[in-house]
Amino acid sequence: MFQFRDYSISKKLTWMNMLVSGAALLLAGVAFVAYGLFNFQKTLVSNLSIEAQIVGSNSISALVFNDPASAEKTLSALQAAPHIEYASIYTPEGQPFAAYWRDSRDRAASLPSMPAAQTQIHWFKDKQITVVRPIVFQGKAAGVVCIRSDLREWTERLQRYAVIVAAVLLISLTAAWLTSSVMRRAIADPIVRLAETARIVSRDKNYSVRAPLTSNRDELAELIATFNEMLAQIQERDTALQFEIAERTQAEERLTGQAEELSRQAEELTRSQQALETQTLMLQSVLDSISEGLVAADEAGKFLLWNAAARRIVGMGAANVPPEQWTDHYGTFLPDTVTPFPSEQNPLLRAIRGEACTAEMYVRNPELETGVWIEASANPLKGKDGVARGGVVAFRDINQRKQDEREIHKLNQELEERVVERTAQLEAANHELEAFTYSVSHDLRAPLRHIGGFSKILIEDFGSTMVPDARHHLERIGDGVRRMGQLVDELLNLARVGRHAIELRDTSLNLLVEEVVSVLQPETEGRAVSWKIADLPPAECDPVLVRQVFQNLLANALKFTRPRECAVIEVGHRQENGQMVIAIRDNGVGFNMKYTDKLFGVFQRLHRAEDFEGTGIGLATVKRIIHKHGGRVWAEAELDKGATFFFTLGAEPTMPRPEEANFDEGNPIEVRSTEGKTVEVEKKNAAAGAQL
Amino acid sequence: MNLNEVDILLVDDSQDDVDLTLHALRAEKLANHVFIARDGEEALEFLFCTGRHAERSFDHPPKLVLLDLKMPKVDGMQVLERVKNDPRTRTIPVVLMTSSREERDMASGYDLGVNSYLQKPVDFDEFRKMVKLLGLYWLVTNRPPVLNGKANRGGQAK
Repeated sequence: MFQFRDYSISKKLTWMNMLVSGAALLLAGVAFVAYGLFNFQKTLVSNLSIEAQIVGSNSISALVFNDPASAEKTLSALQAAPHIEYASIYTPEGQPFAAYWRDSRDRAASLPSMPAAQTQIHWFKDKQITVVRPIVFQGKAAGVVCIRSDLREWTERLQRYAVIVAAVLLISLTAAWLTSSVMRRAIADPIVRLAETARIVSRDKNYSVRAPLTSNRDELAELIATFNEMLAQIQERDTALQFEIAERTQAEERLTGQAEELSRQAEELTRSQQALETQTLMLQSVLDSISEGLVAADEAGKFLLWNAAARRIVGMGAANVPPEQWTDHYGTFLPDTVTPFPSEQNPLLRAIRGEACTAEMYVRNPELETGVWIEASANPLKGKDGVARGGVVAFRDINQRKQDEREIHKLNQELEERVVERTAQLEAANHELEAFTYSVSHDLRAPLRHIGGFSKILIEDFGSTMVPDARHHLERIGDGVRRMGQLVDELLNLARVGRHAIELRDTSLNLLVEEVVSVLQPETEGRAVSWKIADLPPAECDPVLVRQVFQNLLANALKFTRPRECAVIEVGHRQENGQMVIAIRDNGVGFNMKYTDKLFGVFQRLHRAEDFEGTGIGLATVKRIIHKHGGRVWAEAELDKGATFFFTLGAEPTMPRPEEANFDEGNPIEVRSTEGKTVEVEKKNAAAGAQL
Repeated sequence: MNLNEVDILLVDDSQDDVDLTLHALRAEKLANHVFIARDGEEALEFLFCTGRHAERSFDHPPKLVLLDLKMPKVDGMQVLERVKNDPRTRTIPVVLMTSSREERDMASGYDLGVNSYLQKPVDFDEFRKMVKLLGLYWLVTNRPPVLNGKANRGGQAK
């Protein structure tokens, strides 16, 4: 159950009030009762003593005279005092002398013996008080009086006192209770409210509530004010704290974020390091597995890298020697194999100075069985700022290449010698050929002319005296000489065309054709020849050579139309693949197309000499001239229906469109050796023509 | 034949050519004052009045020199060079007559100042025709240069 300390303060106050005032009153009441009873008891004893004295005094005579009846008579006077139950007188020897009983029923009871010594005493027993007093007569003990009284009066008085005390107590407590109710309001209520406020604050952490103030000016008011002030301060601090907490929370969040980031970075770093290690290992393996030597050094010339191939090629590993001693230490030489490689030209040192370079050097040192040619390529190692932080040089063993180079050099020399030799031979051959041409031209023609001349003179001067047969034979000699002269002339012509330096100029083809037609005029005498010459556009060509082309083709046309009653010779042109094609058509005897490949060869003839005279050189000359112009010539014919010769001047256009430009690459230039001493270059553009 | 009355100096090492040329000239009656030199050396002696022809005078140069190119010792081109490089002889008309139609020869001939360059045709009729034209032109039609302030003899004759 509730303990006192758990009671509310108002209850406590009430109880306190009640207890305090109750206790005080009780004590006061008890004291008052005790004092009252004590006094009453004293009075009682005193009264009884007095009555005993009186009885004793009145009984002296009886005693002295030994008269018990008188004594009893005296004793019976005690009937006036109802409270006395018993009275007796003893002789000094302690023998009962007389007795009085208020209640005669008790008379039968024996008197108590009385010790003589017991004088002047009283005692309480069984709600009775007994007083014993000595009776003195003339200074000598005459007897002893004993009176016993009941305590009814005492008890009544005690009851009265108790009622009075209880009533006073009751009234006092009621008053105390009422007072405490009033007091409680003044003291407990504010405290209760304060406690309530404190509880709210404590429960809700709401520091903005305030305990209601009282109108009093006591310590409680001060306490509430202080409490409120404290709350205000707490609120203030709480706000500050909240702010601080918020800030701290933010900071903590930031910290947490940073910590996470840090841990992430740490993880990443770890991963990177692992990757780096893997990579480093891999790189090391790669570096060691490549066949090129790799050496890197820092700015001070301290080696950072020296892979397995480098060790193998140079025969040594990285040595802790200053750069100026590298040449001596590793035995590097210039390509002449004897001059030590100048330190300032060392590729690695140049790379360290920030210069990319390549160099060949010869390495010879005691660690190597034979000297090694190396080709080194050096590059600066640059930091992020672009400043050289060292250099790296890659090199390889080029002994084989050097050997190959020597071999190639030797072969080249041999080749050059052979070229010189061949050129000399060719020049000699050319000279011979020229000499031959000259001989043909001069030495062969001269005797021909002589034969012809003298035969003619013979016929003219002595013909009249000759037998007809002799004259006929001489004429046959003349014919032969003429044909041979023609042959020689045409051969020379063909050779000259080959050597002729082509001179291109804008030329009127019509003018050339007209010239040729007029030259051929004598041969048309007695024949019906119809020339149909179209307007030909001007062309850029060598007029001398192209005139020869028209000459040969038109002469052919004229020759092979001889059997026709009316010869029709046409000269026309058409555009084909953006190029002008000149065509010369006749209605002559034509030829079988299966021989068309023989048509333009030297000495190739498709007709018997008896039918059509000719040397078989004319068309070969035409072809050579056309090819010199970069053009092409071809023919179409049908036996007995006529022939058409086509030619173009200049290479077919390849410029305008890109895809056409490809034709050049797709169609390699064909070098064809032709008869005679000249070599012609012919462009085969037939494919280009087909695509256009 | 008075060597100072030579109209044509024919320089050719080939007897056949000489005969044919003379035959052609004779047909045109131009063969009377022809001197034949059989090589370049003799041609030079004749033209520069030295050696075998020391008695000749520069006052009477030929009206025409017909010069063959290919000859032993001194060839036609050398003769031409000497003649055209010497002020005493350079006005003498020189015609190169050769079997060659080599451009090289033609070019150097004209470079040296030849007056004409002719190729001897194989056909005799044509040859004759050419010689006839040549003779008539240089000996008859053409006016010879005046030497040393006086007219050439040929010019005086016309």
